[in-house]
Amino acid sequence: MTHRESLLAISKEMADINYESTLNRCEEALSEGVKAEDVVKALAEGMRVIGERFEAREYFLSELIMTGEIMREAQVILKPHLDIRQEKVLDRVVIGTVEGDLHDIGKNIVASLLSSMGFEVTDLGVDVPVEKFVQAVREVKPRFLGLSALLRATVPEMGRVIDALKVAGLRSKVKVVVGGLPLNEEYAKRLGADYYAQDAWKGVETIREESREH
Amino acid sequence: MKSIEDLLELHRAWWKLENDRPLLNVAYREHFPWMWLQSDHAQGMELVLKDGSLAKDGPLKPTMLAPERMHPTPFTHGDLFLPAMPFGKIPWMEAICGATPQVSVKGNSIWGGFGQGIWPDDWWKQRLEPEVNHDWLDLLVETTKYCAEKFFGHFVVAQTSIMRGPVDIMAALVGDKNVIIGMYRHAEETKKLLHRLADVCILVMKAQNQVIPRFEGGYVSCWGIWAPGTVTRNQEDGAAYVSPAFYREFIQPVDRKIAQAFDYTTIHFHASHHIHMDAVTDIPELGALQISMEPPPYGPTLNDWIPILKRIIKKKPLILQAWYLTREQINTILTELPPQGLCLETYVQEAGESHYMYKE
Repeated sequence: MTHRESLLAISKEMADINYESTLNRCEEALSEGVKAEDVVKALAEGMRVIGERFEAREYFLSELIMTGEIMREAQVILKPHLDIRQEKVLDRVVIGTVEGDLHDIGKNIVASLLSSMGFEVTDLGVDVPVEKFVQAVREVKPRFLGLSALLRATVPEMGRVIDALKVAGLRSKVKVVVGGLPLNEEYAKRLGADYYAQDAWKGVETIREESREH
Repeated sequence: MKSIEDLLELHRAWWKLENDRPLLNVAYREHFPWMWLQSDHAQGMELVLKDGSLAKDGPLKPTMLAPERMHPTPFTHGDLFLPAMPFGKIPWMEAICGATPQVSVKGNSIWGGFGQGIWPDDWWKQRLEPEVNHDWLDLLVETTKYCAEKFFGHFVVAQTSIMRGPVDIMAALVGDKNVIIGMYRHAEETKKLLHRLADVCILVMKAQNQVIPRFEGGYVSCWGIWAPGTVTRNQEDGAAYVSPAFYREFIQPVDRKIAQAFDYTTIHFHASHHIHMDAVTDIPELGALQISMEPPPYGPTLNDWIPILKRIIKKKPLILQAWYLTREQINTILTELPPQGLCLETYVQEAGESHYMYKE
């Protein structure tokens, strides 16, 4: 198998969410002398296809969760082979589900996929009080703050976090991305957020795009 | 004016998709909760006279009444019975399987699990035998008994209103993420655990039924629909995360197992579950579906729902529950869907026409 064929196979296995095969292909490619950086790019290509399939509703949240898992394991395989000098840590992201809400599927997918893409993610978990978000923004100094909620009753908490950031003088230092089913673009604006993510994949895309432009 | 006998016949026909008009419970939000007190049944209009007929408008004389006829009849709202049941917000099933419920005042909820579950990530290597927590099970049975002793007569008694199914219980035990990873990577262990949890569900459901008095030879579901046999309800919120193929492989078999254990089982779904409707209605033993029609973006628009609902109601009776609908939307549902098998529960936004919906 040529290097190009190896890389195409990795992209395909990744796009088809074949856990074992993707990881095996990564190991094989490395042993055949394929550069780790190229394997990373092949995985990214697979993820691009996954995103398309998710948007086309051929894939569901379960597929995004597994994507995160495969990427996490792939990093373990690839890390020793990556040139540390070239390895670039992307922006820092703090993320959490607001107080009163324990739904974490969307938030976990975003955290896991961003980590696998090279973002430094601080996941505060679920049921996170306003003060904890503010403290994390102060200490971690992230470029992005992701706020998640599934319940209508807890969405106003997002606005409280944003208000508290203003009071603490931190609002201009962080871009706030809000996501969750009860929201829409208009509601997100009213809350004072910078970006609205309709679903987990959109959340990842938004942060990746904005980070690239920065 | 409907008598209890009329309602029982209507409900009996509904399960068989033979009702000639839909079951309706449509009320006005701004009247809540007074609407129940204002409804014809709750005000004692079902008073049975000495000659066996129902009381009509006009004067009432002692000679028209007989003590044996004035027995209490259960409250109804619209075409549905109003059941007394154990407090539904307690995650009984998850607690009985070992999770510790967590109260969240802000979320106005009691959670069955806490994010990452109580079992480790390598749960599939462990013994897959969740132990039944008898303290919680006994409390549920005692509470059901209490409802029966205290309220049966004026109310029918039903099982508790939220009983989660195997996938949701598994999520409480191992975490949502590990349910999905289990389906992908440890399929056999996942199926085994789901089947074990289905057995526990059946045990808990039957334990409640044992202490619920039969009503007119049958039981009433938590949605107030009587059936001439044993009833239960089930719910798999976690199914919303998975593909229709995964639903068929992992969840449908355990939903079917539960449906096989009772005469009339209803599965509760949210709007986001619409992708599984064909697979669910393929369960031969399933009695009915109940769908909470949350508005978009939780699920489809009403127009997009209609073809899905038409497919469902060809195969199974359907309870549609929506927090708010306009009269126009209600008319769309009632026009587009056949009455056979339809039950609609909602609040209307406009005021002043509640009687229109109750009219026979």
